[in-house]
Amino acid sequence: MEKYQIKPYGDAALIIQFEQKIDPSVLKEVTAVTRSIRNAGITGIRDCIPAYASLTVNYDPLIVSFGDLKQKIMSLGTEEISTEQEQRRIEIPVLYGTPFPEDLAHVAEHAGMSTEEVIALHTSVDYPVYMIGFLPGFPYLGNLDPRLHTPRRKEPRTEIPAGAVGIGGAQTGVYPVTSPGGWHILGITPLKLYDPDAEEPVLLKSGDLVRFCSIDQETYDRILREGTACTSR
Amino acid sequence: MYITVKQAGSLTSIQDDGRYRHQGEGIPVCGALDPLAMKTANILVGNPEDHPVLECIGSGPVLELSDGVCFAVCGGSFDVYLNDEPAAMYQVHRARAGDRLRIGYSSVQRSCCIAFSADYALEPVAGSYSTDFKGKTGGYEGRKLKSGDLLELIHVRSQLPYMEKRRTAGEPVPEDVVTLRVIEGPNEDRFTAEGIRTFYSSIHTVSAKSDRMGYRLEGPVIETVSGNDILSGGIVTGAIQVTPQQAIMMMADHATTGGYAVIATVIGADLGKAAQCMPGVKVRFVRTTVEEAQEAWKAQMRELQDLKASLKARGLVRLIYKWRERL
Repeated sequence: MEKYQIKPYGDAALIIQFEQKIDPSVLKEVTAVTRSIRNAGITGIRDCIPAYASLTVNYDPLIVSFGDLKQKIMSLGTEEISTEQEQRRIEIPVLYGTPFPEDLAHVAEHAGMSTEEVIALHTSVDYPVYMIGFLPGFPYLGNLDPRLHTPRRKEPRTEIPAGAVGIGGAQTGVYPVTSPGGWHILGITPLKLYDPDAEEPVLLKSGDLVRFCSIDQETYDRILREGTACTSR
Repeated sequence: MYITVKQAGSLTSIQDDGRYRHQGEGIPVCGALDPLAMKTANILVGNPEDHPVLECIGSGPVLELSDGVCFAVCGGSFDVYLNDEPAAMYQVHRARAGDRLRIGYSSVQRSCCIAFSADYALEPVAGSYSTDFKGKTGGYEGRKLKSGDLLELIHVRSQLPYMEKRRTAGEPVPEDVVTLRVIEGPNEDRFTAEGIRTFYSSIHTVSAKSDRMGYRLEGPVIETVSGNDILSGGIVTGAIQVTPQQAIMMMADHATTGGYAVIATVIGADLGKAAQCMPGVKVRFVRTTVEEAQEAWKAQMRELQDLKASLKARGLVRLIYKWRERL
């Protein structure tokens, strides 16, 4: 990993910096380096925070010093990094037009298309998860069709329910917890992106691919009841 | 036994060393604002040092204790009363069944931690008891305490050996201008030489707009090379993000990621001191090296370990207390 710049980030973390751009190739590198460090099982590491073009590694300075940890990370083999790993593809079922149908209508009007066309477009591509942050389980998704880019609401809502799927500027994403927000809400998913009591509290991980699919009220209720994911497209 | 919350105080919550291993999933660390205060209080009452404590911010709570238990209060300078009698901080006290513990208000410092010689009958969430206010989880129902709450304590030790030794010096009274040591960066290259000079040579004032997520700092504008935005990246506690208007020192509840350039990061050994700064307090930042910072942290932790070792029951005393615990 000699090619990466590793810097101290305070006295209990370090940061590995990559080429500073939002790009699938950088995402792939960040994901690979994160995996490589996690798999190496280096003692003293408390946490890894992969982001668009950086990886923050928290460590316990009582167990490992900055210098030693930097050396250990540098010596991780580059072939481990280049290993192609299978990308998870996760389908997120969405009941479009709920609970704020006016937002879906606004996005459609802004794009000059029908609400059906907005749904078709929004469900037509895979969205890479660049990073998770801001809120527990909140995915920063890339690859939103430029026709759907919509400026945020002038008046943010004070409460957007957990599961709301929305568009804010050039981004699309899902609110994992009830929170205030200024995004236009296209619909709502019955899946829990964040469940603090689950063994894996967060559904998505950086490096995953997300695909939205449109469901009806009946399917929404069923998934909510049974907690099973949607398989139909 | 139970603790009945008669009055909750302004922001009383259960906190420990924080929730690690899940920041990559957006789950914040949280934990006590002043980690040293939390560890010291726990060690005094014979708990593991990262045991959950009650953290009090602003005006403290009034708690009624159903049974005998030992407790210690450490951190910023607060008035502590046991049944209306003043009880010194940084010292273990024995409460009896029906006693009332009251924490007053501190106008000079921000938080204190109460450690009880017992366990909370709560389940950890993702390995931690800390309250995550934004995720509404952890601690007691994922929220701050309110009056009427009932906290159950188990494995209660109503007596501890060497009571006379269970005290230590508190944190020093803060200076007029609080000096905080920082490691430069990691985004120092986003600032001009003039911007860096401004940051280190200025006195910054902690703003009233500060909470467990971060403390805003009022001070001169810090010049950047080409704006304050960076590609969002990981945030650590103590990171000083610079927005176009002001600098913000990130605290325990900070979001896991942020999009403003980080000019410098407060070192672990000074985080408690930073956390105790009330609105209006003046701070300045001085650079240090990672090696020195890690040495300072180790020295603090060594002191705690010495305190712990001095309180460890040995021989017959140990046997007697073991036997009592079983009863």
